[in-house]
Amino acid sequence: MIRRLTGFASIAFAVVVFACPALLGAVNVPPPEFEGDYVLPKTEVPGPRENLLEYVDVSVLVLALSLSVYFVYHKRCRKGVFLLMMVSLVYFGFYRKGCICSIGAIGNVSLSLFENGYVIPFLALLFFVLPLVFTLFFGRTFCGCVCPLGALQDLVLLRPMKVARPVESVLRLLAYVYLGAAVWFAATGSAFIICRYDPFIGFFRRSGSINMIVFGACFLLVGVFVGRPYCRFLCPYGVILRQLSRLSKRKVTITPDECVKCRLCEGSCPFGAIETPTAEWPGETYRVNKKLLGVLILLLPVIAAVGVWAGGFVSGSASRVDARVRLADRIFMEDAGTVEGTIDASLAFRASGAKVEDLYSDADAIKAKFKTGGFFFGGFVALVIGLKLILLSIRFKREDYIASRAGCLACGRCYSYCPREHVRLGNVASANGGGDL
Amino acid sequence: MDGITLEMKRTTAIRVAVIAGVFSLIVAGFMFVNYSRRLSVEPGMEKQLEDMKNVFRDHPDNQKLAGEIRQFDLEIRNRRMRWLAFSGKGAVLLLCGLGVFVGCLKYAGGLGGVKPVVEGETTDGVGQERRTILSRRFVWGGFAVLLLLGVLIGFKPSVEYVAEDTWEQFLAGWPTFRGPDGSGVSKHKDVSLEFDGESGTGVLWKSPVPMDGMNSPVLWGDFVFLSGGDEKKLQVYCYDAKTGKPVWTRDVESMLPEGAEVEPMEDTGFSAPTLAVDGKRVYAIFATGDVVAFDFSGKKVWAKFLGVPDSVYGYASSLAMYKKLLIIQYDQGADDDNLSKLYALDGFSGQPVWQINRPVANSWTSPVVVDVEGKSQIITCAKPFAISYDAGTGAELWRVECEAEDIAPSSVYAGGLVFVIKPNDEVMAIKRGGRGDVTKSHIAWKNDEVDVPDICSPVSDGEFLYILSSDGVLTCIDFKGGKVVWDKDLDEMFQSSPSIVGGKLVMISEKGNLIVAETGLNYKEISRSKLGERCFASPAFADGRMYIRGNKNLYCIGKKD
Repeated sequence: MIRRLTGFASIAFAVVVFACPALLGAVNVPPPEFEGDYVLPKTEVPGPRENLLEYVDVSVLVLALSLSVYFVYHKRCRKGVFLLMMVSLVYFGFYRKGCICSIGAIGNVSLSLFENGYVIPFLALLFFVLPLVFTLFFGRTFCGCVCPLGALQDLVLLRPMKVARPVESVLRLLAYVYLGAAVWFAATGSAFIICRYDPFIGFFRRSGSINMIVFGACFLLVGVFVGRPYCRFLCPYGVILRQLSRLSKRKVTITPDECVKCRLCEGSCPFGAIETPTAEWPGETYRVNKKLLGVLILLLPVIAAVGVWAGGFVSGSASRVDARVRLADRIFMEDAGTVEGTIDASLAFRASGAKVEDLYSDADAIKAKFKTGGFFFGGFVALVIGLKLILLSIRFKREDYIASRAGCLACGRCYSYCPREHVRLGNVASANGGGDL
Repeated sequence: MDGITLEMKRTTAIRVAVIAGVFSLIVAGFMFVNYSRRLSVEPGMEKQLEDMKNVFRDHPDNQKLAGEIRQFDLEIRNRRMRWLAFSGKGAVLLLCGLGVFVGCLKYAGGLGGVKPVVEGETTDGVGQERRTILSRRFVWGGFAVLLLLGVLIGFKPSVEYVAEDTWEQFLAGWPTFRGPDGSGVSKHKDVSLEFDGESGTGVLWKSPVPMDGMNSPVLWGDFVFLSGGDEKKLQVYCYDAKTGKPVWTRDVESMLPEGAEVEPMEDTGFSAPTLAVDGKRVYAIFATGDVVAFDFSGKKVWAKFLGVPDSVYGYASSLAMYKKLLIIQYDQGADDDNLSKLYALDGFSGQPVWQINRPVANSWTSPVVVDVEGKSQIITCAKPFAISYDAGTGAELWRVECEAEDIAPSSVYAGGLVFVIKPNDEVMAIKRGGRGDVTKSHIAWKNDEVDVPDICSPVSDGEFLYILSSDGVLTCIDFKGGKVVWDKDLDEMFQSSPSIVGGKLVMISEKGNLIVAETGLNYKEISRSKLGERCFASPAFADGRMYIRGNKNLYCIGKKD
């Protein structure tokens, strides 16, 4: 019954979610062209959030992170995690309208590192740093309990399906590409693409461009079947948290004490974050993999060099992300007669009386920055791929069912699948008679 | 509470989920219908509004139509705001409904519990190995796809900017009335100045001009541009500078409102203003207030209507250029009517880059763009002021109260002095470097004892100033002191302004007689050539050639290669 209903629900949800874009998209109303008594209101930009409220935001974040640790490690309580997740969704998502968020703060941090004239807002810095610090100590509790983007996807996860390991391995690379691009574009001062292309911001604000709402709707639709697709395959902040989580002092454990290898937890994680015990490799396989590992280590510089070249190659096109480069291109093409007519931006530029030589000079300077950034971007992505290949050639010995240190989102779903957890809770008696029925 | 079983909770959750789901679908349905209606209705209304606006552009005085447009525009805005409000409220309801729907389903699912699935063997070594190999292959594949994407994206070459600087070429040519700075002085030394228009001696080619016009030829590369027109038709002409063959002729569709009348006097006509050319486009303005830009292939780039000019004798100010800005001195009405403007339009788009209100009356002078101590100024003359503006921003730099009614001669700048004519009254020199009203501080000299022109603009070689009155008296004035050095009655009537080419004075009379005289301390006539037809335009000069617009024909004077 539940399965049938969730199937129906998924379809209904898809219909509604796809209907949303048409219904929610914001409309720009141009000002009247004629003169009259009406005085156009001055365009107002939202001012910075009041200091006190900024402190409230930070306090809520710290409290939420602390509670997440409490629910994940102390109480081992999925319901508490879920409740905290929903509160975070309401506060950081619908109340704070998705801004500021730790993921988007990557842009602020990158720009502040590469642009001397930019001072990162203290709030943005805290939102960037605090989850990292908590991750270093407690793993990815931020992802599992506090992040509003993750919470929204977790909420719509109705019929989880497993993603095959090889597919997951390659899809996860996208997050590294996205992280590299986000830092690249922010460092050149061109765009905060994480914020611009946040797929769920339109839902939080109940407004936005049609394209972005469709994009978000697609993620939610996929999220009905695939657990947290954005978190796993695209989130650039998740990439950083993954790596820090490997070093975390405490880690999520499926079992409260010992693994009895009952395999009941095997299918419980919708995010593919449970690692199974490994088998002994046959001798021949071991030797082949050892050779392969050596080849891959030797190939790593070559792979990185190819990436550096590709990053430089793509930098010219990538620089068009910058509005000033786009404008310069447009003006140049209009003047050269290779495009017909004008666009609003080119008309505004021409009407400003600004010198086109200055525009070209600015655009050239931005392109030079993109070129340098492109080398680093390409090198970074290629290095990640190379290391991923190396990691896939190393055999890690595991004897128990464990939560992946990097991949586990600390959602607490697996706890209830472990019979030892039920023993701990006193729901069942232990095999050696340690618990009550 | 003991009576409430797990099954009852689950059933209740499912029922609530169903209700919330149906509610969400109904809300979404309403919103969709609302959106569809908007999509089907609004474009039509917007098109209707645009049509009304287009009609209004042709009839700008139709106040009834203006009122209807405002009302209709308001109606569209109100509808749009209602739609937005409906959509906003719907979005909140929809999100709430979906939240309850998903929450209940999750609750029901949790109560039912997902059963653990145990499949295969505990440690499937072969399976793990296979997955690892496959993962590596997929990662290699991903790398290849990323590289391919990079190549595809990066294949579009980056635009290499080459800012085409035609300004130097502009300054070296004859792109506006009396040359690039309106001085009437050509940089070319070796220009043929003797000819006989009737026999054709010294005439490289002669080409008929379809319609009358007082404007003078302007040149760029291999092209000569003119305009012509009357109350029925306005035209722009492009000729091949080498052969004289017409390259193209374009009619200009006037945007003069229906019922509006423009009646310039016969001596002015509909196309007195000389055109301007900037290496990419040629610009023309007519007595109707129509401004138009064509590219060199004759394709119209843009057109504008500046409003029916309130000009006693008909609008006649020629166009000027500053880099990519088209400068239009649009003087109208009386000096206290606040109608006069100086426009700087972007040459590419016709968009106003800046526009300045001028406290002056209608005039027939042309603005001159000159380089004063490394900065470009636009100098204008109209009753009661000579005013200079910063060419880049339009900011007023200085003004001198020195002008009277009915002014046609334009100012010239030479040797650090601006020479200004007060028609039939006096000629004066203004020192450079002033700011604000410099009437009392920067007038270098005045001379009211000479035959002051009322149409022809002066010309200077940097040592002497030469003025030519309409009745043919040429006067040479000491550049620094303003004293008359000599004067000479040429026994001709003049409307075209004198020029200096290769150190020689060049003047062409209304009868079409071109007089060449030496510049300097004494008057000495070098030659007198007959065009063979009347002439009111000033000649244009290129390397070895002179272009003269006669009453009916365009002439190219020069030696055959």
